[in-house]
Amino acid sequence: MNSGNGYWGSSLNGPRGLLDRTIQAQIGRMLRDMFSDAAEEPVPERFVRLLEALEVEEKRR
Amino acid sequence: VTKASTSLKQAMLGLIPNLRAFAVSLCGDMERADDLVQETLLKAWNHLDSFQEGTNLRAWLFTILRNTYFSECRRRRREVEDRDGSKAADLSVHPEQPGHLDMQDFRKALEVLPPDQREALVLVGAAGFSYEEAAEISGCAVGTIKSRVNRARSKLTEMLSLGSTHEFGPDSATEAIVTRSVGSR
Repeated sequence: MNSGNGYWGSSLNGPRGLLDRTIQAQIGRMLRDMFSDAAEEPVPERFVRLLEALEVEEKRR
Repeated sequence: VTKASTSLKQAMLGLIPNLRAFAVSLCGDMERADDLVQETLLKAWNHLDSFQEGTNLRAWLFTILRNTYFSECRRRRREVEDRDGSKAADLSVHPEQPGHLDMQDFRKALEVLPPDQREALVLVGAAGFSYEEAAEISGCAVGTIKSRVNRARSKLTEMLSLGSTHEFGPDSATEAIVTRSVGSR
């Protein structure tokens, strides 16, 4: 996992840089939250059925 | 059905939540995301023989999904002329509360990014792939991924930052944020 903010670059100094770092830290957090929230959703039935159907089809071959 | 393909099916099933998260991060629309996932699963199933046992199944499926997404984008672009940069015109997102970004602002900003930059950012910053893995998934050089990620980050920062106060906001707002963020350390 690419965590931490070391990768944001080193040109972020001064008041504006501090603001940018704050925003960028939030961006990093939101990216991860967005992804993990979506990944916590239960798998829709259609995909379970799809994989089952594919398997049945393969057995018939 | 071989034993191998049965366990692959199990593994694929287990990776669906991840694929959906990736798809929705790329296209910003759950319905379209699920169609992408469905197409990905079908393609993967039909090409199981091209998957090398012991390699990263997650990366393989992500590769199929992003290829599906990008070829769809190219097709759409041909069909519908980009609405003369209507998206680009609305490049700045104005968070309602200074210094506080909510998820909606964030998603909106993410959608404005060029798709290749969004992809790189999501792979590295959200899905947790290394630059090397992301490069392999996207079929480009590691340096390209790094520069896409950097451009995506600075563009997002610009869009989400009230710090560009000379454009849209009083200096005091910036100062308040800076002061607050210093105080909270």
